[in-house]
Amino acid sequence: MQIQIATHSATPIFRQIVDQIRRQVTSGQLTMGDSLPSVRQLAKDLVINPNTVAKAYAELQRDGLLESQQGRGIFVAKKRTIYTKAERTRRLDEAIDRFASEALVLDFSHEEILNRLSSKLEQLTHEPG
Amino acid sequence: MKALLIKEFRENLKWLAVGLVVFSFVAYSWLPAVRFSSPYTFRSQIDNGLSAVVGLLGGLFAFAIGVLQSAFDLRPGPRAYLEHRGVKSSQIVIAKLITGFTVYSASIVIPLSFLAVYLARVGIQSIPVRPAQVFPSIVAAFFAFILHPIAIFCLARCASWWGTKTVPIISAIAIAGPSFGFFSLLVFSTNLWIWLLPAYVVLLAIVCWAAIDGWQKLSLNPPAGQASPNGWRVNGVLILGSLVCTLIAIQFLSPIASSFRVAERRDYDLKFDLLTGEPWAVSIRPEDLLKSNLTENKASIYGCKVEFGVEPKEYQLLPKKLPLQQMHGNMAEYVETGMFKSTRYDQVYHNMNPLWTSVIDARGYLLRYSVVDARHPILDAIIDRDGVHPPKSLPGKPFRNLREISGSLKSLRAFYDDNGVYVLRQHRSNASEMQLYTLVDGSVLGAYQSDIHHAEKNRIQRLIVVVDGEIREYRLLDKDNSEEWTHGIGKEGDDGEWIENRVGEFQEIRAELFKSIAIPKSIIRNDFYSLLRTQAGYVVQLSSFNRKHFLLGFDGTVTELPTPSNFMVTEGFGDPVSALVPPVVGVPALLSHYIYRAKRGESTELVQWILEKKSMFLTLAGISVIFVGLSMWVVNRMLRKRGISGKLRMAWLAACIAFGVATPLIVACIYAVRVREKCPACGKPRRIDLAACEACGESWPKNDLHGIEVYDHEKNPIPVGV
Amino acid sequence: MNPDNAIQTFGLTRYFSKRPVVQELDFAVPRGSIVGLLGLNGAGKSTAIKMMLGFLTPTRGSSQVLGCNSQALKPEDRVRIGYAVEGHFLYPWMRVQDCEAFGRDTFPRWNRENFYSIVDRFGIGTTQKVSWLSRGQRAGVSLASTISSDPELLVLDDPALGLDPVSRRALNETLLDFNDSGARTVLISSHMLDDIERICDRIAIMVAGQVLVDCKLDEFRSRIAAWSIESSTDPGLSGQIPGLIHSHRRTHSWLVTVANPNEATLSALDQLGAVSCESAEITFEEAVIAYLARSRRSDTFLTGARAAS
Repeated sequence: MQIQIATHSATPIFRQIVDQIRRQVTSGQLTMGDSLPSVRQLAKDLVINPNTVAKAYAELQRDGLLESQQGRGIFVAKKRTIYTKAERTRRLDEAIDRFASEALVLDFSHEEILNRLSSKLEQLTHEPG
Repeated sequence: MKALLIKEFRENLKWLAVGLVVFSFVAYSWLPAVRFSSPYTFRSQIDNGLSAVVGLLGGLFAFAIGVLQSAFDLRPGPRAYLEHRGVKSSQIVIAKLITGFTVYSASIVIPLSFLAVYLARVGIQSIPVRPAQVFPSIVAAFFAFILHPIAIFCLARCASWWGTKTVPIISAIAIAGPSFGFFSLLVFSTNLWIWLLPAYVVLLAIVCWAAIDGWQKLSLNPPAGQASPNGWRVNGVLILGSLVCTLIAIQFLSPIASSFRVAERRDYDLKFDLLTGEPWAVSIRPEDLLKSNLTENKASIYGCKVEFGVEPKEYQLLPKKLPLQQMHGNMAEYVETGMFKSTRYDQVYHNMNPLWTSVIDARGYLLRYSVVDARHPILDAIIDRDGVHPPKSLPGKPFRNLREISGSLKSLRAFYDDNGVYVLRQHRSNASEMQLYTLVDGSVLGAYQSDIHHAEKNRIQRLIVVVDGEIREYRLLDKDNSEEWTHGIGKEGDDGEWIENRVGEFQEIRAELFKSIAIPKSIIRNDFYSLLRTQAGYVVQLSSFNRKHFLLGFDGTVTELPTPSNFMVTEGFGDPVSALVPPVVGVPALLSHYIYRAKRGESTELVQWILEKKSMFLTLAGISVIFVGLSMWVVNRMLRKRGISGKLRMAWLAACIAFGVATPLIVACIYAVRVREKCPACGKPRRIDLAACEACGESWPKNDLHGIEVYDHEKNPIPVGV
Repeated sequence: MNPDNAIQTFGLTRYFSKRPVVQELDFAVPRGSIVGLLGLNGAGKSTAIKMMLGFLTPTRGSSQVLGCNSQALKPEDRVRIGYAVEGHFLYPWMRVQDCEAFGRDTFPRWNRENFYSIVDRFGIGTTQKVSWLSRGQRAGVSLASTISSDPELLVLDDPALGLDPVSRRALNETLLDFNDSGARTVLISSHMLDDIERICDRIAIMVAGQVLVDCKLDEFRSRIAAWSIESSTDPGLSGQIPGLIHSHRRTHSWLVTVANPNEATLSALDQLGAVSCESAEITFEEAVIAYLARSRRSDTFLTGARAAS
């Protein structure tokens, strides 16, 4: 697992960890059952405060991405829905906001964007894992 | 502790090199003085001169080491590095003191030991010096070491420049210097030094102790409301120091104050009538001396009879035929160095550059040097109770307490020791031939020569010996059983030619007991400071400190002779400035003065003694009260500025009675001035070191809120953690 | 005294002659945390630390360290606290191994292995003389000397000053090792904001002798917001924005930093009548600098802010 921390960033360190692990889970770099380094281990590797790592792990566990197995460590969890419908919609809207504004700046037509988006979705959902 | 010692030695051993260089130079610079000193000047060379230089440089050196040892470790970084450990600050200071003392003593003792070895090698063969003469210098150095703990004390934490630094430094110098002076005065003449040295060691220990305490506690801004913010040891040293500094200041004031005195004091000599023993104050005005070509015989002599209760106001011109005789002091004639005494002979003939001179060795020998070449005297003979010996080794029967009889027995040199009176006679034409006669055999306490008024120009000299409880007068007879040979040095003949009294070569002289009287018990003592024979009896002065004279009549009566009250010597307590002396010092001094007098049998009752000097005591008491009141007023103001109130303030005001004018200085040293600021609540000035305002009782407002505080605890001000 | 706090001060105040350097400091270091104390030079950080460790007498107020009164720390209390003073003083004549021996003789507990492992982390030979060491290496020896006495609390006064990046990393690693996931406490004053961001879980910002921020690092970030405002005049001078920390001029706009933003802040921004006003992302460093830069501003600005509160 590769995580990079940037300090002069507008994103807090724990958020950077959350984002990077989330991305690695969604992109399939991390799959269900993969074990993650312990809080101490990761804090030591990244030279950051262990509480920051713990906070990030806690958020990912709350989101259902990770689960902690007593005495064995932290693992990537089975995908499950833990948010309400409304929360899921809000999060989706957030993601679409970011995506849409950046895509439009790149001067693509609506069809082109939609096409590429649907093929990407196709690719992600049909891949094994 | 081991680690601290290693650290101190590692850091400060370099000063040993500096010290060795300095004191080696001092020791070396003394070698020429030793090598070329003549017996006339020996006394100022090794003992006094060297110990003064070593004491002075030693004090500076000790102070410098103390400062260097402390100053480096008191910078913020080193201080935290050293003190923030499992060591007590007392251990730190003790390590510093041990190191300082080691470096100090090594750098002084090593060079001086080499000097002593050199002196031992040179020996007394060519100069009267002994290796032990470097000992006073080592003692002086030991006395001067007190400046080392004082330096540490002064640098402790945030000692203030003017108070906690200056006062201890001045008082340490003031104590160390005179105590050494006193020590060297007493060291070989009496046993008192055995008490003085331990007293000094106690003083040193107290200062070291205070230095240890001060390192930890002495701070500029002690927490408010503490009775003794610095700890009592530090405060004790500060109180002592302030007292000493006040006394020094008074000492300086004293000449200024006395210059305001209106009455003129005439210097005069005390002389005694050789017929009656009555004392006379005799004064020769300098202008009269000038008029009469500087000879006393031709000058007009003024004086007056001294009588009880009558202060001489004006001197009368005295008739020249009055048979007045001045007393000769006895001990004062000697300059003692502890090792050697010069003899009166050398004093008198110093400028005449005689070919022989002699010194009394403290071990009990009379050393006679030949000074043909003044720069290279040669030991000529060693004289002991048996007689004259060649200068090979020290003979076996030394004198005990050998002293020379003041005033000369014609051209004979007379000495006495505990066992007898001796005369050293040298051959008229060959002075290297000498003989020692024993005039009086048996226990002798003191011996004096005295003229007996015979005729105006012919005076016979007699030997007066004080033995246990008795005064014995001896006639000095030559082989013709005549005393005539003791007539003055000679006489002016009718034709104006000088006729010298001659005495034969190695003429045998006998002492024949003429009369003896018992000394009354009331004035009995070992020996008298001076003695004079008059027709009425013996006039004696008990000691150089006690100026009272007694007439011991031949009929066994004792009469106290009047002493003129306005003697030139100023009496300490009569000085108006002495009213400034803090009572805590002054009263014990007065009492001990009284006890001293009482022991001499001079004053019967304290009250009576005070009543005798009523006007003086009243003046002093009046000035004292005024100054105590003034100090109270000043101290009260100072205490208010320093925020001391309540019982403590009362205690300090009461202390003014004991400490007098020293109290403001003490308060200034112990307490720092409190800064005040306008109270935000009531607008009056309030102390910044107190939580509540003295006027309105309001506590300090919490900081101005800027609206930008970010605290994660509910309640400003005290965060309670996470 | 809250037993959960390793250090706690109660209205700690110190004047140097008539000038207050630390004012009414109420501040706590919770046990097990790493607290970063930030502030400009002269803001009173070192003075506050010296008072907390009993090296300076407070003018008023008091403080406690590990439950003991700071002004009466005994040697047995001191050995529970590690303190590295500003500038990493060491005796220049010692070799590294002598420093170890000196520590061993003067502390009751001493972890020799720990000393050499920290020294090793900074890449220092044990026979090197202290006077030959670089600043970073000296920091390493100083840190090793402090930590090897196995204290419960570590107080470091600007340890990162003048350190190269490698030494700084070693310093951070050592501190995290020491903290041991919340077993022991660290108070560190520093100017290295990115190091603070990495290793601290709490920060405190001192401005002109007062603590304006004392909270968890994340909370601090979440309670500071910034807006980019296009305006011809400094919006800070309006005196209308509550919680305004600092307004900083950029090329075409003003970056306005605000603490504890709420509805009132938004409406105040609306009423400014600026050309445009949009929310801006702000880094930790910028947020801290906003506080620090504030003390450098003129009085009129501060009065304006005070009036707004």
